[in-house]
Amino acid sequence: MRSLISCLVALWIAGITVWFLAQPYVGQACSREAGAAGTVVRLLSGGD
Amino acid sequence: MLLWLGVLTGACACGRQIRTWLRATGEARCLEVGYDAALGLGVLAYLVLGLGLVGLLYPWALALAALSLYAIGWRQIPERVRWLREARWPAGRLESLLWAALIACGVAALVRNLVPPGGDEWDTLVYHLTGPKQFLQAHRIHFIEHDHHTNFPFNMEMLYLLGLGLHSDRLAKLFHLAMYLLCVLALCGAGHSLGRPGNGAGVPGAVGPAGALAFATIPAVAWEAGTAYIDLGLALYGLLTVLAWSEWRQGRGRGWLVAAGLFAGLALGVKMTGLLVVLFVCGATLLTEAWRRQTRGAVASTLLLGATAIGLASPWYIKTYVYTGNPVFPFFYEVLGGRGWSREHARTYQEEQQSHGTHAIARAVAEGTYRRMEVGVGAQSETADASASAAVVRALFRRGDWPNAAAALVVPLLEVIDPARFWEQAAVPCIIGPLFVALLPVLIWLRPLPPTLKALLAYAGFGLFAQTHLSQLSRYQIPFFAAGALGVGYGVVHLGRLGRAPRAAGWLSFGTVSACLLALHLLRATAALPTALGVWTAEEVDAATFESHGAFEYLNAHAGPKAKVAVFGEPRLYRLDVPAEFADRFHNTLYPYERMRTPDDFLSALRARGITHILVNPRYHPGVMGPGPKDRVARFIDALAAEGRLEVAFGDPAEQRATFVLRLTGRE
Repeated sequence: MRSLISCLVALWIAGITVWFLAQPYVGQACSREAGAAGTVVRLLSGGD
Repeated sequence: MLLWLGVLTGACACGRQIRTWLRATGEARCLEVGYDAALGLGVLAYLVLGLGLVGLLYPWALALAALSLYAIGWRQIPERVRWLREARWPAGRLESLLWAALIACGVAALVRNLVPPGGDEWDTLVYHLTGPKQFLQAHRIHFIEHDHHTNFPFNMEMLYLLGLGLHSDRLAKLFHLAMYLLCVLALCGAGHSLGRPGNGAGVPGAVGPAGALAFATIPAVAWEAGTAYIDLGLALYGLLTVLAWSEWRQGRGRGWLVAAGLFAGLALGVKMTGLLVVLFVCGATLLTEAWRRQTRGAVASTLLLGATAIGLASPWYIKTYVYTGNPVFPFFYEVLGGRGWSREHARTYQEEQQSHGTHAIARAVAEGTYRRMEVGVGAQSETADASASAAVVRALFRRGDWPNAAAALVVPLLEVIDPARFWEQAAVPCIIGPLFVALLPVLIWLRPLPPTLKALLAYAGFGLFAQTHLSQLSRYQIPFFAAGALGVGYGVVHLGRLGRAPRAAGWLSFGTVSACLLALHLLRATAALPTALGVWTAEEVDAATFESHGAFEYLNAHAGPKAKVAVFGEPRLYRLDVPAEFADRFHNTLYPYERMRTPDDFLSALRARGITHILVNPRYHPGVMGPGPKDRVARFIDALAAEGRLEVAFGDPAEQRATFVLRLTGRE
């Protein structure tokens, strides 16, 4: 019983996390924020 | 920064003195700082309110109010200095890592606070800073008839007023950052207090920092830490109320019950939904004392708690009653009425509050157009969403919308799948992350839980349930995330009790998600860095990013001393120095649109209000003097412009891009 619960808990946590990371908005958000920060860095370093 | 630190130090000393008087002291130091500073800032908010009511909103009086914190708490200062000297970096590697991440969160939020508010900081520009600015200009708190928001309880806004009066909007914003940092410290300290004998002996020191990091990296929370909203103030006071109440429940003296009442009162003075924490602690007191068959004690303790909370918050509600005839204006209009509001306004407001979350998803599923919203990409894609996640959502809503009573069961899961439905727009701050859904249910197998943690989780559950009824915007849930975060920390640290696999999965999940969300927070701060460092001026950034910047500049420079502006589609008036009022029909009843039949009626209404200029943001009020859907106002303005009774003073209405200004020509 204990090992079944242990297995289910691990699967639940891992499953929810992977599900979250696989959502398109996670990539979109990272890309948007990295893009904004990249633009700032480029402008500051004298690029166009 | 120095002014901010000075006020916070005074607040700590003052709050400590008050807790000494109440005999409600003796806690983990981080939590002590949270209690003390929060209480001191509450005192300061009421001092500023007092100055506002007697018409003394001048910088010298505000400085005296801040200094009076030192006058109250000067005896406590040497002890606080000794604390600082004795502070040590945590010994454990895990705790050190968590604290380093928390410091990174704080620094990133600080950078964003060194930048004046931008166009995306909507409510900051609509009323959190605009209301205090108008009070400062008048040197007193007064009734602002065109904006109902200014009748809300304004504890946080009193601190913003102090910031604006003593320095700038950056100092004002820093007070919301203070609430964020104090939430983090309180969670870290609360984690320590879980380990006290009688509460949950043997709780490792990483619980608090892990919970604090789970809270601090939520993008919605991290974003709010960089602007002058109020939800983090409510989160702090709600959290401290439950923690202080839990101290009392564990037999640490009646002073803690009074302290809980004071924090609950401060929460109720930040926002009307602070009533949820008052109801929670009063209900919990009644139930737990009655359970111990102490009926008389239950009633007395509940009355003491409730009376302290409501008594402390009452100045705000009395003020609103005097101004509007309804202490909770504009809510419960059907029962309590209110000045400058109508049934139509009440219905529209209610519909808007209920338009988010499960209601929005149910509508899209019913129409067959459901797809997960994209975040931060501009226009939404039109293609069908055939993913498993969308299929899960469609299955959940197969039978229509969830009743509010049951929606709280699915809201946390839906916020992981489609968070933009729980925010006003599909922007990055809408993200909540999966840690609460992944780790809180696991606590069932980690019983018995420490009493303080049980109280926090009960408050978080009650709050989420009640808030789901009121509105499902995820930023309104921030106070309950703060309370639930300690459960996340407790869960991840204790998963080892269930075996090696859950432990590994827990830390892997916690580490990956925290790192990902912290990266988002740091990237956002990087984008603000040049303005914070003065490489770009705030003016340049505002001109490049805020579509109403030019129109405001024009009016500030050229409108003249007798100008008054009617505003359509642009409520973010913080940087407009000319007297102005919202003229859109859903804001107030100043303009009798239901009785207007002709453009002349509209013009007469404008003249009766002393209006000299009209400002239109075509993004939110399209169709005025250009292509797009035309409502009655657009048709009236078009007709008046065609007759030469209105002329363009600034901008190009035909483009329908940036905000433009029209002038009343005086021609009959």
